[in-house]
Amino acid sequence: MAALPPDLLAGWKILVVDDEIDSLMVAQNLLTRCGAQVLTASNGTEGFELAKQHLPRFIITDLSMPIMNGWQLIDALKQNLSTAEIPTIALSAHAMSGDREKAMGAGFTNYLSKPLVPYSFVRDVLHLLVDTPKVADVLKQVEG
Amino acid sequence: MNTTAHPLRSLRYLWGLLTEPSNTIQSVDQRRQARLLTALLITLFGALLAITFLPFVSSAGTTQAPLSSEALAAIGLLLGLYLLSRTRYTQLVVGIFIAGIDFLLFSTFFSVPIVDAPLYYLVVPVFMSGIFLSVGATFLLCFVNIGIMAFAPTLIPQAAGGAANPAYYLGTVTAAILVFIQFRNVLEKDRRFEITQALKKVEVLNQELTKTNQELVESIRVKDEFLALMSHELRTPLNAILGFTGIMIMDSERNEQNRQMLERVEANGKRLLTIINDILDISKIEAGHLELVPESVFLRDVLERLQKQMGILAEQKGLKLSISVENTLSEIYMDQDALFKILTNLVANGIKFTEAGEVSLKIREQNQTMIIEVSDTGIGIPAHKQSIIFERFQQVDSSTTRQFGGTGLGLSIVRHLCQAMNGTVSVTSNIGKGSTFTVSLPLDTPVVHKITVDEKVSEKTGV
Repeated sequence: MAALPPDLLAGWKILVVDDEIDSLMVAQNLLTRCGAQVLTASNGTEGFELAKQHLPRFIITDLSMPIMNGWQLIDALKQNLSTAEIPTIALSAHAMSGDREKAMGAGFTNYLSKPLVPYSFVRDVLHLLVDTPKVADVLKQVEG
Repeated sequence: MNTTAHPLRSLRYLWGLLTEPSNTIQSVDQRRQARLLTALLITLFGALLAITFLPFVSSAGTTQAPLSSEALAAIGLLLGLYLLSRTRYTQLVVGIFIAGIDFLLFSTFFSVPIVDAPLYYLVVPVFMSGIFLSVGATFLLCFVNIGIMAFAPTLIPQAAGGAANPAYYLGTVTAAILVFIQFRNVLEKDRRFEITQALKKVEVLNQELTKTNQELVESIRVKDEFLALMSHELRTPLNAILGFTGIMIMDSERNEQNRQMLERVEANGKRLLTIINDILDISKIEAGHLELVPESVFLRDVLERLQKQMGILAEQKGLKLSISVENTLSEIYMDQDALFKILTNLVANGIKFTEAGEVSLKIREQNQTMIIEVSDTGIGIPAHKQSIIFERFQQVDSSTTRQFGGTGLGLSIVRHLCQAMNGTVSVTSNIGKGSTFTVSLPLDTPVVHKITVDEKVSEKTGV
């Protein structure tokens, strides 16, 4: 798989929320490689504050977290006018049947299960967000 | 023991066959009555035959003419009644039988001067009526009998000579009925007692069953939770392992040795992930949580994805992977994930057990059925192992477990998925030459869609 252009997501702010520092680092690293500015938070409360403050292009969040979990975070985002429209992807280690449906039902734009695949992670995420503005253009650029 | 038991057993069988009540009778009580009636008729029939044909039973005077017309009529009547008693008209047979005995006794009664002896025989139909018919019918029969005794002599002059005293009969019958009622009451009491006991037992059993059921539901819930948790707990570190190694492989192209080791770490992480997914799949299937969602599938897309994933594996082993599909099959209607799992499992298996040559996947249509053939030029499967490879945790032999990795769940998953899609999977193989797995899936599969209780609940709670 060809490497993605290092300026693919240049100028994009992306928020990643996960209590596992390792998972956070992996996602951050992969997104930074494509030129994105990655904001990180280790629980829902921090994530919500950062989201309000920076209004990122999209959010990737874990579901099981202390203090405020992913379910509560999506609720908070949806109830806040400025953040309600930010596409949010659940990235979770839950892979039982029904988890995806549950996440979509709760208001997440889409669902991705861990472990993520490093080589295709950014592409996968963009595919999941294909309905949001600009993503389609970027995807076209990647896939030729 | 067995040799002596045989004739007895066949006699019992014959007796059971002869007294077997009609299938149209459902109630246990009525079947028992019907059986008793046929047994009674057979016994009487036997007795009548013995009296008629065996000279030593007959009195000296009648030995020269054993077959009287009355005996023939009685034999015919009994035979008819027996045949009728094999149908559902048990009560009718009892009625005819009672009327017959009454008629026989009264006709003797009024023609022979011996007065009191037949009187006691008249109790027999009353008993019969008590056993087979109702209490009301029994009383009616008593009144009819007394009436005949009281009035027949005055109406039929020639009967006057043999008339019996109705008062005697009344006394006898009353005593008989009292004894009978008492006997019946005792039986009824026993029966009620038995029924109450049985009901109590059922109640206790029911409670135990409810408890066991609750425990079972609870243990299934605990198991499901454990499985979900384990899956989550294993995926989290795997995410870090696979993520970091992936990133490092991307970066450390120049340090060849590090890169190779990282690739091994990554490969093992992936292997662990496959095992987790297989275990999740098989436990979902075995818990009946398998959910098939048939949809429109473009076969080309599925096969392209397959080529991408499996092509790398085949390439690594220097094998040729050829995929071909008949043109008539383009868009089909089935569960895409299940189809993809079947294909990947079979092709990956072929690659795993083949050292040189090729693995080929051919898909064609035949009589509304999609035939999938996956052939390899691998080690082959001995005939006696060909049936067990579809069982879970089974590989051809335990030593291959060391040589070839895997949980042995793949083919079991394939079989379960095929069954769920109303299809089949089978194998033919030559040792050392290779194996061919054939899957046939009906293309007009009716929609099989199971929603499990858990999911219904989670849908309701929503979040």
